[in-house]
Order: sequence, then C-alpha cells, then structure tokens
Amino acid sequence: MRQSKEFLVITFSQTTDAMAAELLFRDLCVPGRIIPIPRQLSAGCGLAFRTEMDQKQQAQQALVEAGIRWHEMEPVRLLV
Amino acid sequence: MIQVNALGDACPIPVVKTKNAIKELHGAGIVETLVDNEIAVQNLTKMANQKGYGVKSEKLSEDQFRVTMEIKEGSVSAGEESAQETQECLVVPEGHKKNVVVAVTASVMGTGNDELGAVLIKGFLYALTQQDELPKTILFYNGGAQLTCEGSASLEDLKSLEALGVEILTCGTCLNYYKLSEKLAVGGVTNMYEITERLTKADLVVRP
Repeated sequence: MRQSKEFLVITFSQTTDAMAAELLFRDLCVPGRIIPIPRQLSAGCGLAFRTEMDQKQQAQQALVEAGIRWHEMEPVRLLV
Repeated sequence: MIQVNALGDACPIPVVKTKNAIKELHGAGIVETLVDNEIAVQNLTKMANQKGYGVKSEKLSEDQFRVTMEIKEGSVSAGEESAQETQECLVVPEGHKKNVVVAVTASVMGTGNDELGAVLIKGFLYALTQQDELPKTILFYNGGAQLTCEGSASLEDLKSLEALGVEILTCGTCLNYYKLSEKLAVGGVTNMYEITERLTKADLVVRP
C-alpha cells in the first residue's frame, strides 16, 4: 500500500511566479519542490510549490517580501 | 430501463457504452449492462461509485455478468467530466498489465524554452510517481542521462519509482560522452542492445 501525506500546496496564476518562488524558497531554505498542480486543486498555471504543512507562515512572508503573487495555499494529501 | 450488451467487449468499451446509455436516459432510470469478464464489472462498479449511482452486480453464468446501475434525478453531471473520470480503464487485470516504457531522450521536455523544459521534465517525472499504473521501465539516453546523475532535481522521484519496482536504466555510452559515468545516482547502466530490446518489446513507448 502506498503512503500518502498532507502537504501545503501553493498555487500560482503565472508559471514565471511559480519558477521564481522555487528559486526564492531554495535560497531561503524553505523545504519543498515544484510539482504539477495536483488534480484535487483547480487549474492555476499548472505548476505549484509543495512544502510541509508547518511552512505556511514562512512561505507567505517570503512571497510577500519578494513581491511574488500566489493564488492559493491549500493542504492536499499526496502520495509520497 | 436501458439494456446494454457489452459481451465480448474489452475495456474501456463496456464503460463507454454504459455512459452513453446513461446519457440517453435524460434523467433518472436504470441501465443494465451485460459483460463477460470480472474486470469490466469492477470498472463499471468503480465508475458508478465515482458518479454516485446505485450499483449492483450479479454473476449469471461462468462468463456472463449483469451490472445494474440506478441513476437518480440530478445525478447526471452534464458535461462535467474531470480528466480522472474520463479514464475508463480503472482496473487492469493482473498479468495483463501493459509493458509501458518511458524513453527520456533529453534533459528538458519539449522544445521552445529550456528553462521551462527543465521544469516540465521535472514535473513529468514527479507526476509519474503519482500514477496508479507505473511504467515498467524508464530509459534515459542522450541528454536524458543527466537526469539520473548527481545534481539532478529528479533523483528523489526516480529513487521512489525504483523503490516501487520501476526499472531505471541509463545509456552507458551517453554517461561516458557527458563524462557522467562516476555520477550516476539512481538505477543501472545499460547499452544499445538492451535499450533496443526494451523499446521493441514494449506495448507502449512514452516519450515526454
């Protein structure tokens, strides 16, 4: 049986914003990665950043400071 | 009530025929589908559960099954099918699984912009890990060889695919050419005979 886990998934309206967020989070050591947007969430640009549930505040603050606009931050259960 | 004869039909035909019959009801009603294998029964049952229809199945004889669906008023979602629902073959019989081989021929997906292409191939390999049906083999050659080596952003996904039983093979000639022979971080090294064999014996070759 494959395991799943709840992640915080951040979606973006623009692909370039998702790519910029990936670089930003890498620089700030926010754990996580770019993934294609999970089917459970509505479209957006198709890319999302998947991070740990406890990173919401840090991620939000970093995006605001960098002026990167995000669309949604949602908990989503994904296969690990 | 509409009766559907799907005897002798292989997946996804029974599901498709049944869906068409449900559309013809234009509302509430009963659709009875006759099929000759248990896989079709499972697929129809799964479809009914996804759509919220009442469903029961009976074995009429050794090779005949009847699946009865009860569609209630308002449960037909006109034209609101998600990509997941349109995937008709939800259950594949054990032993009849397709031999799917993924051939990764470049370090990017598609042509146009390589920065975007790198993000896309990373997304593709992640999405593979999320599929119910995994490929049997993933081949990496030419520029694709970089994806199985140290520094690749896809190592985590490839290692989890390997742990799930997917064969990961990288072209040795390519590793040598790119001076990556010492850097391979997941899967095995292969040669052109094996690559050719995997490709020619595959039921389906997916090239992202």
